Amino acid sequence: MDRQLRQLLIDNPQLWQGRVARKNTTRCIPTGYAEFDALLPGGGWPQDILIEIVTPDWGIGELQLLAPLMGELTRRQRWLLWIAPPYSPYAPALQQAGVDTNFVVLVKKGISERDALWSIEKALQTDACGLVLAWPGFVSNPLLRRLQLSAAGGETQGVLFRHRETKNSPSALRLGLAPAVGGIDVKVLKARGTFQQRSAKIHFGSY
Amino acid sequence: MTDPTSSLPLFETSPDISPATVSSPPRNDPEALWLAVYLPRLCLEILQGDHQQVAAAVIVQRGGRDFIHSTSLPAEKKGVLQGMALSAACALCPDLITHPIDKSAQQKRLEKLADIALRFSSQVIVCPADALLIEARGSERYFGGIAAIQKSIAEILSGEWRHSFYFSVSPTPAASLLLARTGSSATVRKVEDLRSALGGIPVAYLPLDKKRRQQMKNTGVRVLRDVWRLPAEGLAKRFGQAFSDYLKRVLGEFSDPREIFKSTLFFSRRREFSYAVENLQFATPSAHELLSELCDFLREYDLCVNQYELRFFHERTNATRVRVDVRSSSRRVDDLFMLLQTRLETVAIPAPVIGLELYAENVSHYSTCSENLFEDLPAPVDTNRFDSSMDSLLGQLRLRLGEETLVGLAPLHDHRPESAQNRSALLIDDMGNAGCAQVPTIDNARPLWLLDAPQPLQVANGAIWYRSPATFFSGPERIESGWWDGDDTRRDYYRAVDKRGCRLWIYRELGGARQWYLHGFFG
Repeated sequence: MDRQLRQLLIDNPQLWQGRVARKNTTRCIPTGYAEFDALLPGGGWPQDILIEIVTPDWGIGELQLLAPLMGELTRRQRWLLWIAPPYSPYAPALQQAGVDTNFVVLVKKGISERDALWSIEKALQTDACGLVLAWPGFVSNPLLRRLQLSAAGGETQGVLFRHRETKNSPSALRLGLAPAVGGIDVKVLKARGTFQQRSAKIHFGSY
Repeated sequence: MTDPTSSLPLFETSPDISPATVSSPPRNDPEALWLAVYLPRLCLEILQGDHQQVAAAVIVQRGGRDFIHSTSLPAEKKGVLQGMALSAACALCPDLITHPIDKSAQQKRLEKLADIALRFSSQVIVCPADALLIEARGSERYFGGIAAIQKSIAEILSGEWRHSFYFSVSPTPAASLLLARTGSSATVRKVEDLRSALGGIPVAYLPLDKKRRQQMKNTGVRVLRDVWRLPAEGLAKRFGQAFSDYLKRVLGEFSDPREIFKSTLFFSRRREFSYAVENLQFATPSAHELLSELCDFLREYDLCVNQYELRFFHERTNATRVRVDVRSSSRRVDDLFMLLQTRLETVAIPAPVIGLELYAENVSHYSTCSENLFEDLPAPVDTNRFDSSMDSLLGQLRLRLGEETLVGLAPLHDHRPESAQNRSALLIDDMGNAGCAQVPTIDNARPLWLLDAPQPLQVANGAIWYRSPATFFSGPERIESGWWDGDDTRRDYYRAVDKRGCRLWIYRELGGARQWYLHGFFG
């Protein structure tokens, strides 16, 4: 192949090179679960993007999936911002999961949709937070695109929890969760660098 | 300018003979010259309106009855005198307008004037109720003589403030005050000349109570010269040690330390526009300029601001005031400007803006947190960088969402699950750590989601129902605690999963109705 073309392909991981799944060189933080690392292109949670997690119910294990990421971020002294979660995160449980609660900021339920989206955008734009977790209601695609751009600009990862998947959502990583015994079923609905929709079962330590 | 004999000084308490004033061994600063500014009608002049044309008086209550404290010239002409009872005054002058005395307003005005006096000297003393003392020897040469200082002060007082005043200069503060109160604009430069200069002052001007004044009158003492002639040892016995000490302070034999006035710092700057601005966006560059001036001011005096007010002036309506609370002790223009922009998003102006003013009174000393000395260079990646930008993000969130919506989490040492965590307002100290003590991790698994209030569950067909029948797979964990503070909890906790896959944390009460509740989810 032409040398320039080869260089172009190496420099741009977004260019799809067919069935051969290339080693993704985006920066990632290991997820903490071996099967999950194998599932994601890049071998971990990609940095600087907006992640959408689609789950039918709260409480099937979605936070447990993020727990190692949260623990790693607080170890690096980055802040975790929870924006209007449906229930209260429980500090002793967070502590058990390895998260330092000194770096947790919670925005209580009851703020308006607009304020919630504004907060997410502001938090994604700064470098201060390591992770922003939000449970917005309905977010239109243009707004999602704006949030995705803000996440790409800063050093903050954003995670949006939804009940339903929106078609053609612009977020860079979309995961679908389903309950399973002893763990959780994760399906990669969309990820940069691959067209495959693979799924795996992640085992948690206990049920 | 002078009208010496008409006003008798009226002292409810003798301000110069207060037991708190320290009399230390004889020593006096031979270099100081004190210029006393006495404002005889201060209490009238601070009132609104022009009281020089009308018969008006300020009254003060003593022993349940009203007495005249201060009168205007027309009232004086009619015969109303200081110290007269109100009833007598009204009989002499039926259309007398009376006002109660306002000591705090008087004090405020005196402090304002002291601020102005600070232009002329570095030592200004506020004598409560009606006088200022300005140390003039130090500034004599710079201003070209004490007369020049007096002239400048006179211009300010009579022009801008419309106060009537008496000046006098002497080496001791007490003597200056005394001379000023008599209305003689004397200048005494040497301590030795004080005795002769003060000799002619009637004893009525001395701060004495009524009994002692009567005693003096009975003794035949009319002026201070007579007091000098009395034997010194007997003076203390007759008229009190305090009076004797006062005379010694007047003559400079005892030193007279007084509290120097320090002005309170505040910041106030204005910008006027040459045309009316309709859109707030176009006013924000001026706000940015004002903020950078504020930051310079803060750096100069080593302060940080807690709250400031931005006032938008309109042509016909009252000014729109926007108050901004600043939580972080940042002095960077960009941080403050970002906060202001967030605040201004929710402000609607009723009319076009013709001017801006930034007013900051609430300032406090700057507590250091390590800032990057070279602000232009990219900061090395260390935790402090995150904390200061987290501070500004939290500040913005607080402004938009409200103070109470932001909370921090901390685990507490309590067996009862609902009390085992503390959701409190965010406490972030200078190091950027939310303060909470380290609590050891619990062994038994705890759910990541906790419900704010446990939800009662129904039992149907022998199974617990949470939207679908739940199957138990772990338990029970018995938690019994809280008998000491009335919140007794005795529960058996189980882990269960329902048909839809939600992992539940359920408990059953051990006493009472033995009801089942859902308390959390293992998310």
